[in-house]
Amino acid sequence: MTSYVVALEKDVRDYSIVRSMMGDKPLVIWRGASGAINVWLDRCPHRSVRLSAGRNMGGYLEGVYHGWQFDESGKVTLVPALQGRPSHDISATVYSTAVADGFVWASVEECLPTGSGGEPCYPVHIAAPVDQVRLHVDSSVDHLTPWGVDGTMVYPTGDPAQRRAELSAIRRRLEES
Amino acid sequence: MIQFHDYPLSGNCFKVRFLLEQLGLEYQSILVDFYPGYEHKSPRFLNINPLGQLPAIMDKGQAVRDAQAILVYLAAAYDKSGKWFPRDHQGEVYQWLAFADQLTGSISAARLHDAMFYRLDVSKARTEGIKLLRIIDEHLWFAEKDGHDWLLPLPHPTIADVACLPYIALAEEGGIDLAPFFSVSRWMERFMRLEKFKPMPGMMPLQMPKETP
Ligand SMILES: N[C@@H](CCC(=O)N[C@@H](CS)C(=O)NCC(=O)O)C(=O)O
Ligand code: FES
Repeated sequence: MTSYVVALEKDVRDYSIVRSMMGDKPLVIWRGASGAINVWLDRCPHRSVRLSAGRNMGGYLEGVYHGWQFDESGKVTLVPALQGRPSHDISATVYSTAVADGFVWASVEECLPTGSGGEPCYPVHIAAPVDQVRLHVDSSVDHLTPWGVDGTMVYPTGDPAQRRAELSAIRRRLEES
Repeated sequence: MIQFHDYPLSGNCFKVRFLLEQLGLEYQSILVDFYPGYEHKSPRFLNINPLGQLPAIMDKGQAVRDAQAILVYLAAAYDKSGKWFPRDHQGEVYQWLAFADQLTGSISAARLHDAMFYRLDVSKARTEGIKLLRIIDEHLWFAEKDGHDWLLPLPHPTIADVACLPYIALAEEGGIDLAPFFSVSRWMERFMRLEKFKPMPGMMPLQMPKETP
């Protein structure tokens, strides 16, 4: 199965949360106290609220709505309404993930990053499907991740100032056509 | 004492309240029932601001209207440190203040449509809002790359950040998804970790853990 870039590694910081998308799946990405990066479906198994609206407490992620706590493996370790008891049979939807060349990768199956052409630079969202975007960018230099059904996030590499101009032009062309 | 004509659900009022509190100024808050009362169109309020818009302040017998104008006024009159309105960056400050008013005209309009049932072209408002978000997101990405956390290349926030923050933080109430704007999201988080920051309804409800990233 395909693996996708879902964030820049340097943007996933301690005590903080990053939102992203992988196709039709909204993602919550967070770095835990262990230093590892976790990529999960951005839906609380309790009431489907965005997990990314909660907070990263280091050792666990806390749901915004009812304070459920999730450890780094995605297991629910504390439910306030159950007088603080854990509920180990419930878990967040956890994706396989890996870090390579400064990018965070994820996959619904086994995550296998592919090589890239250099330093990550400014990610560019284009309101056009990934198949169309692929015709305009060099996918050995830029990683493409479908963003919903009709959007694409381009994670380019190379010199930011130069790539910005190039990608803005591609975006304009695709969005205006 | 400064009299502040305030409505708790207004992002423009948030800007003024935030700076008043950062500067530690004493003020009297006069609540205006914007929705559903339309009190900002009442003769009493039109007397203070003939545009019938919030916010407005009265200070030393003089009325000042428009959030951006009030930010400049308060910072110039009361901020001895000069940090909030850095005089050697005036061009950039005014540029972002004008940008903030465009955010009001687009993102805030979309929010008024969704939350307060205003009749307007909401898809046009959202498209314009997204265009502005892309500009500020890109600006912040390159700022971060040069080691800067704020809109201006200074080690602290300014009234430019204060003016731009609220309608961006409230964008989802207007049906604009903030997820694609990674740099904007980090900047919002830094802002919300500032001392004395108090979210208004619709902004991220949770206190973040103390450790700063
Ligand atoms: N340029 C003004 C715009 C203020 C504004 O649009 N205020 C809204 C409330 S947040 C309002 O009073 N709208 C009513 C109207 O425009 O009639 C500012 O920045 O203060
Ligand atoms: S919805 Fe997540 S804790 Fe209830």
